[in-house]
Amino acid sequence: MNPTDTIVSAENIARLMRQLERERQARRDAEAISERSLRELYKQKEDAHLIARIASLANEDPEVESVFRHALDAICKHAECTHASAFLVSPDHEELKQIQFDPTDDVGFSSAKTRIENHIVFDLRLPKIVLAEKRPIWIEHLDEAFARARDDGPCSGSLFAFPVMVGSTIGAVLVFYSLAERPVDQKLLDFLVQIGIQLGRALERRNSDVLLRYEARHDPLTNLANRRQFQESLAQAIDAPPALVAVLLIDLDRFKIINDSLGHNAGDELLIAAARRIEQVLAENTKNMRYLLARIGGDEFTILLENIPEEAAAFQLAEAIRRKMNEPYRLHESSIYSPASLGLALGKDSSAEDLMRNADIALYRAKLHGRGRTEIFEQAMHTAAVDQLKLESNLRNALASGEFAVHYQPIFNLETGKLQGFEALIRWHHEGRLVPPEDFIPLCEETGVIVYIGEWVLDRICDDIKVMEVAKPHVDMALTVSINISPRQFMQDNFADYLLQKLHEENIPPSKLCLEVTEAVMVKDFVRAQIIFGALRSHGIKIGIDDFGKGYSSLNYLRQLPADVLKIDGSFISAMAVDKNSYEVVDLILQLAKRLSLKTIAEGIEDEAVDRLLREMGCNCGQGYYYGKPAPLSQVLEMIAIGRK
Amino acid sequence: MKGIIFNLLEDIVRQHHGLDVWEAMLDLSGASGIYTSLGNYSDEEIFSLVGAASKILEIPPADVLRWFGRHAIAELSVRMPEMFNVHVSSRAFILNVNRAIHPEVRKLYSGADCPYFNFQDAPDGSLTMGYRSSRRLCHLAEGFIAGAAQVYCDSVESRQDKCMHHGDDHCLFVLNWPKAAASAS
Repeated sequence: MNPTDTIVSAENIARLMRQLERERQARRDAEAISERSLRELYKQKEDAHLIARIASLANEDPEVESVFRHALDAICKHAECTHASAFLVSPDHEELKQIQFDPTDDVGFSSAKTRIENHIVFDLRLPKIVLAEKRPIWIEHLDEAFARARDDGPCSGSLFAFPVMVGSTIGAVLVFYSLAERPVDQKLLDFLVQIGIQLGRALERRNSDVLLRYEARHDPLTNLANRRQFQESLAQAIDAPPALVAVLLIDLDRFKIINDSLGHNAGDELLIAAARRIEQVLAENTKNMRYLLARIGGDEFTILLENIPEEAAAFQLAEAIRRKMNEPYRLHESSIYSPASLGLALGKDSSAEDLMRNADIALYRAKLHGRGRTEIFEQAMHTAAVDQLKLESNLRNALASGEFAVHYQPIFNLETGKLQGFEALIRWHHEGRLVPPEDFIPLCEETGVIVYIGEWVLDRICDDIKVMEVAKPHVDMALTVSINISPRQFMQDNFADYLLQKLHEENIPPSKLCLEVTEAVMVKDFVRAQIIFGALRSHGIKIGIDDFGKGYSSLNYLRQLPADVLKIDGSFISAMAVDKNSYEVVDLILQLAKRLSLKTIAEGIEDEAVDRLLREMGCNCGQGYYYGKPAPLSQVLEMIAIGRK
Repeated sequence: MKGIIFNLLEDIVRQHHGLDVWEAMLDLSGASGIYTSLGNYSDEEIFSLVGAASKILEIPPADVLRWFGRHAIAELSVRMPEMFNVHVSSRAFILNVNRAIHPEVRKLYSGADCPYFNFQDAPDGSLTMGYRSSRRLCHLAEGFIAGAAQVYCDSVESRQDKCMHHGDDHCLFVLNWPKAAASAS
């Protein structure tokens, strides 16, 4: 062994001790570095945990208050604060409102509750600064301007607040108090900005929930209640102790025409204007009555009325609305009239469905009786409506089960006495009786069944004309068949094309056909009438004005009427022998027709005296019981063979 | 037991009694002597070190723990001043053991098995402190309390009414701060 190795000098020991101390210090430094990292890691874990917790709260808890209460509690624990509060920002971003947590709801929130409810009164000052500067703020040494003790005692410590963001706007401000006067912790503030974004989800969700709930119960165009809200409110009103409840339906009579002619924008504007008008009348006329105005369909508004003193009050209100709706609207720089029809139903113990149905029946009645009216539901209307429903269903079956038939009423030339043609008339044999046309044609017209019936009638006539042609005693005899065209048939887009095509297919000369339309069809859309009837006439089809004298004949359009024949209404003819005025009217029509080069046919000739009179007055043709009742084809063939009465 | 306790014990023994005593304690106890603050070591090891110190220094183990606790707090106040700065008195510091000090310890040493103390204000103004732990280190706690009083330059009178070493199911201290110190908390 080398002796030098064993020499343990004081110097060597001192050096070893120094080495040992360095090693010891290095170990401590390493430990300190590790501890700092561990601490940092722990902090990050805590942050991540809090963010995750806040995020799940904000995304899952349906109640904003509950989300905020949990969040305040969690952040208090995380950031070592003793008190906290939340301030909601009003939708106009002007006002702050402190959330008042329900003190009885302390399940799991006892610590937050203590923190929130007790001790510290937060001033709006700090939240206002956050709202103005849109960033978190830290107050190292607070004074009374920011917060004070609830018992008005002195209050020291520090505060910080951060915004809860809803998109790019501030939805709420959360404020935290710590007893210690803590210096600004920028890391914490940066972290709280993240928390604020997560918490914003809860507000966003509530805002969209509120919006969804609103949208589900409101009409987006007029902002009135929609059908759903109306039905809920009606059900509630019905469930309440028995009291008079009314449902008032309002239908804009001319909405469809305005919408079709001026466009949907104008239609929308009209609906909005109408809604505001009704609201105005309600505000001025309901007195103590409670009401809910809703838009439940295209142009249909409805009002639920409660707390009604007497039936008359509801009717007066309806009339006030009707009068208001008569005033013109200013739309697209022109004055538009859109009067309303109203149906009112009242009940003390009716079901919601009954009230709605009754109001509907009353509205239907108002429209039927000429629109621009108010009708109050009566039980008789219900019976009539039920009958009507039955009729409608029967009508739909009638075509399929062959219950319709076409009868022909002869038209004679009064000058020559020769058979001129026939008016085709529809007959409905239902359950062993003949249903009069006036009992079902209006309904066919309204339901649209008329279009199918019209097609069927045309088919029949085409077949029958061929039979008539064969039955004629000589080829040159001109026989014309007139058919009645309803407004709805006329409004069919392809009306003229369909008719001409059909005649072409059946190889029937158009001149064999005369279309009878009322003045109303002519006047409703005169431009269209001129175009379509003009086209049909150019092919040889004749056009007759039915029931002439009954409507509001306008001299202006008479001048340009695309017609060949005037049919004088039977009511004048049957009365002319005894009533001077009727005589004068017929005379006037005959003279007018002569001037306008129109042929005339008198309807409803029932005896020889009238027949003679009409001949003397120069009427061209006539029809009526005197000449022959409407009869099936088989029964008129003989008449055709003879060619005279 | 966390390594920091072994580190503190080594430092304090070396400071007050020199390196040789620590080496002798290791020899006598058979403890490894290799400790890092980040590590976790068996509870038995601290007990045998305390036993060895008791034999070498000829003082009862309970007094070794009291002595160690008192100095350990002073040492900790140097190493981790942030834990002490936020309080103004030993009473406040002690009352914050569960709420602030131990959570802080857990941040540094994950899985640290910190005891929970039950505090209760007595009508006479004193504070009772309950302690229950399988380690039965009530004497160390007593030393910590005295050390805290030293750190905050106040004084606390401590009386132990119950002790697990004497058959009780928990230890109970009654702590009294003379008027001047108490009002400072």
